Amino acid sequence: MLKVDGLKAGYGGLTILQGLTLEIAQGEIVALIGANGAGKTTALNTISGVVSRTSGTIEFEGESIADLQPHQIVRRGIVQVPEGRELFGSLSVAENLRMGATTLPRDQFDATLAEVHEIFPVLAERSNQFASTMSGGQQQMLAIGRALMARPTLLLMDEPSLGLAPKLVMQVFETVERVRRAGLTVLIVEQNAARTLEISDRAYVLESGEVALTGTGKDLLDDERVQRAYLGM
Amino acid sequence: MQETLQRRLSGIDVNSRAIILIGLAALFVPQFAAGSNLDVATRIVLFAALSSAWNIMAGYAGLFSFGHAAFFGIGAYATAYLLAVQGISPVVGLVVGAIGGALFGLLLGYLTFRYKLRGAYFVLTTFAFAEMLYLIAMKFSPINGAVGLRVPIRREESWWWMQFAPNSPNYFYLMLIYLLITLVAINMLMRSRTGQYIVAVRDDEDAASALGINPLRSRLIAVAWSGALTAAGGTFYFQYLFFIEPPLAFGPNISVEILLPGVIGGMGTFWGPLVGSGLLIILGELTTSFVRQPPEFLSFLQGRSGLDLALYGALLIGIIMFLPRGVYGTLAHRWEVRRERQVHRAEASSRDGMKEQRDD
Amino acid sequence: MDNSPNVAAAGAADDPETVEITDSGASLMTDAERRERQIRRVVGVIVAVTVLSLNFEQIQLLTGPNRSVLIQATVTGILIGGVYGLVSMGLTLIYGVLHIINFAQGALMTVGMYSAFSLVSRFGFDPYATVVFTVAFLFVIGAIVQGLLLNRIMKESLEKQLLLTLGLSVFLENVLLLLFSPTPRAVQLPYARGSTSVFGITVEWPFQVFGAVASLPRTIAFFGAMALAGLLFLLLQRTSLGVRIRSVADNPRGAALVGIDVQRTYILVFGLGAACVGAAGALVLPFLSLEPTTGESFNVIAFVVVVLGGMGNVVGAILGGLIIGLTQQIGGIIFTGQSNLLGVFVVFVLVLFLRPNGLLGRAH
Repeated sequence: MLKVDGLKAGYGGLTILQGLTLEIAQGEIVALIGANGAGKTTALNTISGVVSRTSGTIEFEGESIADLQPHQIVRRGIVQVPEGRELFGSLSVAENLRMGATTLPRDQFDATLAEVHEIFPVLAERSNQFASTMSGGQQQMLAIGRALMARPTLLLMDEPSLGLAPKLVMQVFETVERVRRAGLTVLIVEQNAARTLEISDRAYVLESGEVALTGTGKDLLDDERVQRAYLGM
Repeated sequence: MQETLQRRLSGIDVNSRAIILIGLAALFVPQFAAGSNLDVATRIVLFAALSSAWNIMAGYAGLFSFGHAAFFGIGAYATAYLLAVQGISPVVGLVVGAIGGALFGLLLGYLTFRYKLRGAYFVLTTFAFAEMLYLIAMKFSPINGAVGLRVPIRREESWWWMQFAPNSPNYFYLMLIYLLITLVAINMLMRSRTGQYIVAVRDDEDAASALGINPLRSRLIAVAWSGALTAAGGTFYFQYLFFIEPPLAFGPNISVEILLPGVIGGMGTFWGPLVGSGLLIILGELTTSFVRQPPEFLSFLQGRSGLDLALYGALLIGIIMFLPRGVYGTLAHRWEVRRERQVHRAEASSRDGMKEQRDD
Repeated sequence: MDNSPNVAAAGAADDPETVEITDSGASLMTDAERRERQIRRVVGVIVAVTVLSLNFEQIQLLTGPNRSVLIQATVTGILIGGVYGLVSMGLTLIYGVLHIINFAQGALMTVGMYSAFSLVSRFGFDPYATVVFTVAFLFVIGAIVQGLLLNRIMKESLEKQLLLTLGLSVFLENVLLLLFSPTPRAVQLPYARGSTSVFGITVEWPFQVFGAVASLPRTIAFFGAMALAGLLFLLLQRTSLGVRIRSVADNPRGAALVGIDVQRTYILVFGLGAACVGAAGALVLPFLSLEPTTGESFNVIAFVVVVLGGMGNVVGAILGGLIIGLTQQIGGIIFTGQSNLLGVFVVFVLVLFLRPNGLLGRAH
């Protein structure tokens, strides 16, 4: 579904991705783990079109998406839940969700909204509340819900569990699995490597802008190097 | 945009050498230019100095002023009042005006620092201050309000009274002295440690504070110098024009005329304002003569006013879009980049040379 | 739970102070306490100085049998304040979404006025019928300016963007000067004197109210401006386009990730901001003398209004417009012999120093 080959990208004069190569097949949950600064967020942002590539290719369902504008990428079906959520703080929950459906045909809006409300009942309860006044966990739910409003085929998640209490972290990962069961493909970037690898089909370990290791989730969990570097063992 | 490389040549630095050369060359200008051409040259020199003074604050200190008319007007009116109303020499007026400009600058610098007025708010504040002075001046009878003040005509030429025969080259020399002193002052200031502090505070105030630099002090020094030098220009302008009135002294037009050369030439560069001044004023002259006798198909433009300013506006837009560092600034930047690449190459090859030695 | 009419982002980039990480803003920090006391002290001083500096004549003016002067000032101030509000609404909308200080707002208004004038003098249109045209025309101009020029420099510094709009302002004003010459123009309203019937009530123009006089063109300008401002407000609050605009204002990055074409939204917003002054220009034409520099005073006042109301706050712009309209007229009475703009600038400087976030912006 998504094929990235030799991708180089960065900010200003600084190149962060030094030749990223990865593949995601439909229906998979793929994890991207690695230390801070390894390039995980840059990878997602380049796929989303927020960062321009300097070289390499990005192909989605057979077509190159490398030089598209961010809103065009969303229209293709790739939606990101960004690090820091990037919600519309001065808008209400309902308006945030409505904006999430910007690229959705109008006749699908009601049904999709109902589905998102079903997954995250708290969003239905607090429909008219300002996004900025919600708690961290609720904001994360809203961020994911807003992304789902676009009915993506590929969901990119950047550190969804960041700053959340353990109970909420569990909720987030449950949501990821639930979303996959509904037919979505997920690329998830996380520092919480253990939990992520548990639910992932496959994973890539990113170091200094390149793939250092790859394998199935289970394999990497058992890998000594991974255990030492990222699982604190 | 920024001049980060200081040339520590033994003896006199490059800028000073250039200033001396330009000063010497400029001495001959009145030989080749007379009448209206000399007027053009005089104005180029005057606005180069004014814009350079503005550049201290806006370019080097990063405090973009949209109300430099305030300083300019203070200088002009200080001299105008002392001369036209009190009969005191404009040399005294020059000093008083410069001090007034510096004090006003200190006030502005302090208040905006204390009340943390940055970015858009700082710009609007400078604009508001200039406008207020304008409004007050319009009705302030000691300086004749809206009518303005004139230079009392004297029978003999005199440097002390800054007055010469209408076509005398001395006005040009007067402005030239002003420009040279301004450039020397700026050069000395920016090459000194204080100047480096000013630039450091502009680039990153927090980092500069962490290094022990006092951001308020840097700001105050920059603004005081800028205000004093701009006010001095006001004095010379009054003497040259023989006349001053509130719109001329404090109006937004003069604020724009002062900042345009710096922006066009390159903010934060040493030669930018001079280059910008030359470009703009010559462009203005070409436009004026064009409008006086336009070609057939544009004959409706004959005698109309506004073409030169319309072109300025378009030029400004063009510069911002395509040469944001300004005309001179872009050139200076390219030279800089080329030199750094040469240095890199030199370092790299010497490294390789050493490596080869080790491999033997 | 009401939806705030704010267009401004929750953390505006040009806050004079970094945003404090408090939860509800009700927490008292010593800085805020000090500010409050400062404000009270300064306001007290100003009131005292004003009262003391008023000589006897002026006090009579304000309270005695010549109260009508004050009432007239109030009426005139509010009427023109409505127009200020509309002009400033466009300006604040542009700032709130694009974070651009549009120095060409006044010049665009002058363009609107000259377009309306041309239609009236060339084709005999009723001045108010030209509003439809000027709104559309200025919208297109604004869209082009943003699309061709400003969209390319959105990432540049604030000064660069300001300089570009300044260049545009100089350009537009002087093109108008070239085309129309400095001769002042005027447009007469043939029905300015006489009576009109509204809902069975007959009104004589100029209208007398509480001993003050309100002319028909100024009254129409006020109601027209208020109506259009209300429309714009509804657009921002109730329509999906409005939500989209507010999203981009709030978080352009988030907006891009959600599938909004941010560049196109920018174009739309600048067009809307320009359309505001297009309308305002047509509305004021019947009672103002028209020169290439006419828009300049509106430009300056709009900046004061926007800062007073809170940069990016459209309701604040309306409110600020009315307040500044009043300040201008009443200040003109109090500061006899001075320009009526002086009071406005005093307010400006006070707001900049004491409450730069404006009346409806978040507290300092």
